[in-house]
Amino acid sequence: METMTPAEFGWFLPTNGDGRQLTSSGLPGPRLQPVDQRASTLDYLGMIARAADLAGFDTLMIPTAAGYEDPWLIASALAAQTRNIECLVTLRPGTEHPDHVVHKARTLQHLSAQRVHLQLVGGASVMEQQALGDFHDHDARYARIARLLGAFRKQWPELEHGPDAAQLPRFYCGGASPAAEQLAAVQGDIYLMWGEPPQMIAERIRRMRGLAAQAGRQLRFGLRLHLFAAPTSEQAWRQVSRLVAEIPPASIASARQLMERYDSVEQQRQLRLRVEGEQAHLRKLEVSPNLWAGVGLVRGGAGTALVGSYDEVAQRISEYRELGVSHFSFSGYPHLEEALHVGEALLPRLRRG
Amino acid sequence: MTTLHIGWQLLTGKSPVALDMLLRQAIQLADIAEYAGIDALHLPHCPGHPEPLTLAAAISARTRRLQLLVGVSQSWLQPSALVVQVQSLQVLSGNRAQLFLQDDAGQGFTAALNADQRRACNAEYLRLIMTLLEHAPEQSLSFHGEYYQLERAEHILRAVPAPPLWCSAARYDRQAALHVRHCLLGVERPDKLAGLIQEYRQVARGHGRRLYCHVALELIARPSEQEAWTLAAELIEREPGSEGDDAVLALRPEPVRQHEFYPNLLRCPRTGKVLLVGDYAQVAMRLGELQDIGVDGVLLSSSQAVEQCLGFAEQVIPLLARQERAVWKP
Repeated sequence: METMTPAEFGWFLPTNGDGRQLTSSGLPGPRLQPVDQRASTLDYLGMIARAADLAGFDTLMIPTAAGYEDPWLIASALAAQTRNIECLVTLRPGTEHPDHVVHKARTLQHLSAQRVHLQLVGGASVMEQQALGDFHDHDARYARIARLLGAFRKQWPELEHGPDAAQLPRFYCGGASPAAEQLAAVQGDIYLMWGEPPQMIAERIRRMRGLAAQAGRQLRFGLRLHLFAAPTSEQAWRQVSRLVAEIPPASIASARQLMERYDSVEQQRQLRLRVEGEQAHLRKLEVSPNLWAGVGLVRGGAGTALVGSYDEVAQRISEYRELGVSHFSFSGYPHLEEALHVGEALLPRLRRG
Repeated sequence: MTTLHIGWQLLTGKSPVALDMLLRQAIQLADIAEYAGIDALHLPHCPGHPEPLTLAAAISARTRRLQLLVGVSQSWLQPSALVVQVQSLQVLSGNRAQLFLQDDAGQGFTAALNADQRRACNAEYLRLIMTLLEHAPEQSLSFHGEYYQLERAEHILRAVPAPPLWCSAARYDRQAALHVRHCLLGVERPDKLAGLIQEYRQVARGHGRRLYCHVALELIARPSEQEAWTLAAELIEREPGSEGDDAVLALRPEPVRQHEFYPNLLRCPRTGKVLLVGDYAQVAMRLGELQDIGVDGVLLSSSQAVEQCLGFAEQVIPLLARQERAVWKP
């Protein structure tokens, strides 16, 4: 077993709403949102941020997409409400001038006492990109990210110097296309992946290490996963079974249609993990021990979850750690209660491992 | 009864102060403005200073009432990016955002355009952001202009109130008159200013709109007139200027009141900005006079912002209230 980089455990901030159901957050479209939804008000998001901070999470992932609050504004508004947790702010370049993005990042870094890092995304939904006025194709969008990161690395040391200088944020990059992989290898600090079976993750880490080495660099690796952990395995699977039973059947079909149109190799990989057809058989969606692909039935983006007892989930995470993953961004439903629950029941096990 | 709309604005321009300190000062000023009952805080966009939308979000989380007048420029933000962020700010702030469309300095996205192209681009930008901000999300919206294009923008828009728009007098034209609610005029003698206000309001009335006219003043209000003018003299002495200006002024040093173009209104010889200088009663009287000639609001500023803002709130606003002028209705 190789020497492991110290692990970093993060929590997800559901800035388009939250609730107890799989359809509560992170959806392709608002029409799938259920009743009893918790609105993503600043007060509610602040409670989640403070809970995650209190629970001992290292990072708070703040996403971006249509229907989500702007991640920069959220990070700014919540900066004074947390003490230690660092924000992973999602940035989708294209509609702001690079100099302006650097300006924003400097402002936010100072505002947050150096607790901001950036997650770069290309924009998976062509419909959304064109609604924003961006008509670049997939590879051109990644070339644009590369230029932005170049602007950061050039301008930052010129603008930030002296004893109060803000640190350059870490750059988290994801994506499974050749363009995305090349960008991460050459310019990223952490390569982020959505949860996949360990052998698939191992293969990707091997390939990315090779690409990074060609550029004379080293990469860290991160994984985005939902969690359904309970004292016993049976309790965890019962919980998941209830969640699946609550999904309106039509939602599964319409969500799949939407996700199939995403211009994202990573999204297509998530879709292929699941069985074909609209019938959601609970354990058939367990694509490797305790790794369940059922979240992706109705949720775009990360669609897999670790399901099991605390010990089982901790064991699976330990296996990913041994492969080389050192950053994890988790979520659970609802995100407020689960931040505290996971923080209390699971994080200590993970830190001991 | 309330009188004039009172806004406060952050000072910009080249500053020796680091970004970190400017941020802390801005947040401190926001806290004080909220406490002091100031109506709005203007956060201009300026390199080297805190990015205004980011700063506005931080301020919105710690205030409840203060309106946030955010400086934006098409040089840095495409229309869709601006609208998405502004709609988010509206939600986070409880609909307290207002937008100041800053003059296009030909940087960033517009750096490669000549003056005529920038004018055309400005007009298209304004038309598009207002279309996006006022659009009903259930209807389809695509735009194909000369400078900006987007498809099916309804997918990214939300049903939140559109923030009021501001611009400078230099930018206020027939196109702006269709959308802009507030105009920032240069400060002149009241008789000349009254004529300008009438001109601009006439343009707005031609489009069936009411235009609110504001002026920006750097404030030096003190318990005594002498104290105020001593401070004004010190400030002018410290003002940055070109070597040529300094050389000329050194040859012919002038008492500070030589630059007073109207009682209590002083124009800085180096920078051209206008100061309102006097004791509290004089300041209140001059502001009342401005309101009498049609000024709807003032954007105040000061290099001693904390002291001046609190002093203004505690000493001048009560005097303005006692003058019983028209109630402000934004």
